[in-house]
Amino acid sequence: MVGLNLNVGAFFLELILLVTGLFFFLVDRFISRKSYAFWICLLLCIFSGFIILFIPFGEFTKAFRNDFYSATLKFLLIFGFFFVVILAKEYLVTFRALEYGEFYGLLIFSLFGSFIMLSSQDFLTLFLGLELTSIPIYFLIATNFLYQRRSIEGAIKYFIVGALGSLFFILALGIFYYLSGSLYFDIILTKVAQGDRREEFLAGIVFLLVGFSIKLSLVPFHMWAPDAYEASPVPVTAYLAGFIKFAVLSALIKVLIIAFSPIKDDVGQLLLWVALLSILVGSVLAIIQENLIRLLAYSSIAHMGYALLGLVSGEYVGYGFSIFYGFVYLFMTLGLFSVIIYLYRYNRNILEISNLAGLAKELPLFSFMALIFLFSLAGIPPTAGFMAKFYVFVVLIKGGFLISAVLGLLFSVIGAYPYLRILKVIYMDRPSVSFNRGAFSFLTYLALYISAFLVILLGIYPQPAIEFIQRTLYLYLTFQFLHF
Amino acid sequence: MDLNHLVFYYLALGMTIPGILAVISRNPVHAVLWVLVLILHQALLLYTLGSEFLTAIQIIVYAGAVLVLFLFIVYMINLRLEERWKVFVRRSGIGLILIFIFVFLLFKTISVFLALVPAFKPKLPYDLAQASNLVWIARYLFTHYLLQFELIGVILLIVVLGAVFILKKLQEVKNDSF
Repeated sequence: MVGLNLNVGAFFLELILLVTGLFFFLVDRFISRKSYAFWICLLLCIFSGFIILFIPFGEFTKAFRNDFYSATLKFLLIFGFFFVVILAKEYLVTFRALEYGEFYGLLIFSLFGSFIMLSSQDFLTLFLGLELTSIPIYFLIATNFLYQRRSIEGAIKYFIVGALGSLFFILALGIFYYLSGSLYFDIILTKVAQGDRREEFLAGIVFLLVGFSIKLSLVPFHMWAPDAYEASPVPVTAYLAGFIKFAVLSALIKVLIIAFSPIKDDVGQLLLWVALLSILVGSVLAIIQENLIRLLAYSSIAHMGYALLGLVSGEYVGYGFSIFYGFVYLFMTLGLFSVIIYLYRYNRNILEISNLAGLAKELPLFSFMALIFLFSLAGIPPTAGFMAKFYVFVVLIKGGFLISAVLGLLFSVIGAYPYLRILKVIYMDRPSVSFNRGAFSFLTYLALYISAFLVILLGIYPQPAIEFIQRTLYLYLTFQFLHF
Repeated sequence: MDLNHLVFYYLALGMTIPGILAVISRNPVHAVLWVLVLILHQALLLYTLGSEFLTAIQIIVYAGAVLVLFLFIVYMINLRLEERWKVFVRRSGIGLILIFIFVFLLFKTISVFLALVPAFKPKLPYDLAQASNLVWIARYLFTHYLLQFELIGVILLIVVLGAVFILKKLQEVKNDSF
């Protein structure tokens, strides 16, 4: 007889998120001051950030386990989500038609999905978490049609491509189930460790990686990204570019560690060309973009390529550096998007790069912030973007992939051009449009300064963050494989 | 030839002929109704194989939900153009080539699978003598796979909520004559 033994404590945080999201949908019609949703969201972030330190490790059912890795990643994600909420508020102050509790509710549902994804112990739960992460975002993109008619097109594009990705994912699930008779990570791991049927497992992994790379917008599957990014409200773009990719990347790393660690070298080989092509295509196509958001979309493609380079050599250290890259990229994106939202609120044409001309004379502080984040995206030394790239390439070279590392570095030189071009327009061109200086709330300054501080700090002194992530991975691995 | 074979051949014919008719009928409503006949026969075939759960799902999901959706779409968009014979057979050459390729692949796959069939004996984690498939699936669904089951419910809920949210916005746009 199958028994039921639920440990609700391990699931507590997710329950809170779910209830809060539903609360917004339930009461939103009765509250006329819509800023209540923002404050509840902010409180929720702070509360979950604290409570995650006290939530017991353990299983809810066999499919959901709160452990070292998931708790750390959830903490980092909440940290990012805090800033996403602030950006959303700052955007919705101007774009009032979108200011509803449901907007935040959908964001919280997406956060809920990413938590499920990080804690999952079997492929089915992982798949459901992945879907839960992206389904609310389809709606959030589509709501922007109030201001931009073609955003429906972007939403449908993202939806269809995402559905296709889910299809490949389920195909991979079918193959794994056929090969091992189960979808649980640990059972699949024992089957993989037995060593026969390596090729069949790799065939399944190819389909799995197709599903993941559609969500990460890696190169053969990247065409949805610029359209979807351009279509969505700007904070949702930041969420899509930084947050979701970080969450999906950490889920991919988790799968590679606890289900496929015996064949992780081969998986790395599979990822090598995808990563290099992503860097090349993202960098080259970013050069010709005139729209700032489209440029950032292509740059996010390239950056996911860099983050994947850490997985190529198949070393656990490299996995840690990939997570570090994702984290740094999250904060570079959030910082840059907070600058963009500030400018966009007062001038809707600002998203064309040529309209940024002479920004430095009018708004020196924000131009300087943009300079920090763009330097970081380009990978120029005193910023975190450089350190993240540096570590990834070090692991690649130590793993013996010298030619790939050289190619990656060459592509990153190409990739620096688009960012430096924006800076040239901001700092050296003659002003063409006038900028209005408007009020900007304290919280947004907070988001901006903390992002800039983190980007500089991690660029100068990355040791503690790196050690934190590596130690998490190490402890996780120790607990995971203690019985071997 | 015993009764089992007779039933199987009847069901196979009942799936093949409506399948062909669904493809060659030019009226889209007729095509959808032929697919309905196909699906009902498929459900019966699954029942003869001893999987009553799949039978129920087949009828509820496919015949009940998906086909109604198809019919809805067929009525909603105008397909008059497709009904003209010239348009209908315009690219038949490519279609025929594709059919040959798919039939070839199908036979290849079937031969591979037939070799696998004797080795493939699914081991059920439960005892069919105690209760039927349906009962066991329900028990597993509400105990062992509880989280996954609930998560699917959450996904459906979010989809409904999001759709209502978007429609509310759409109505506002219409009222404001954007």
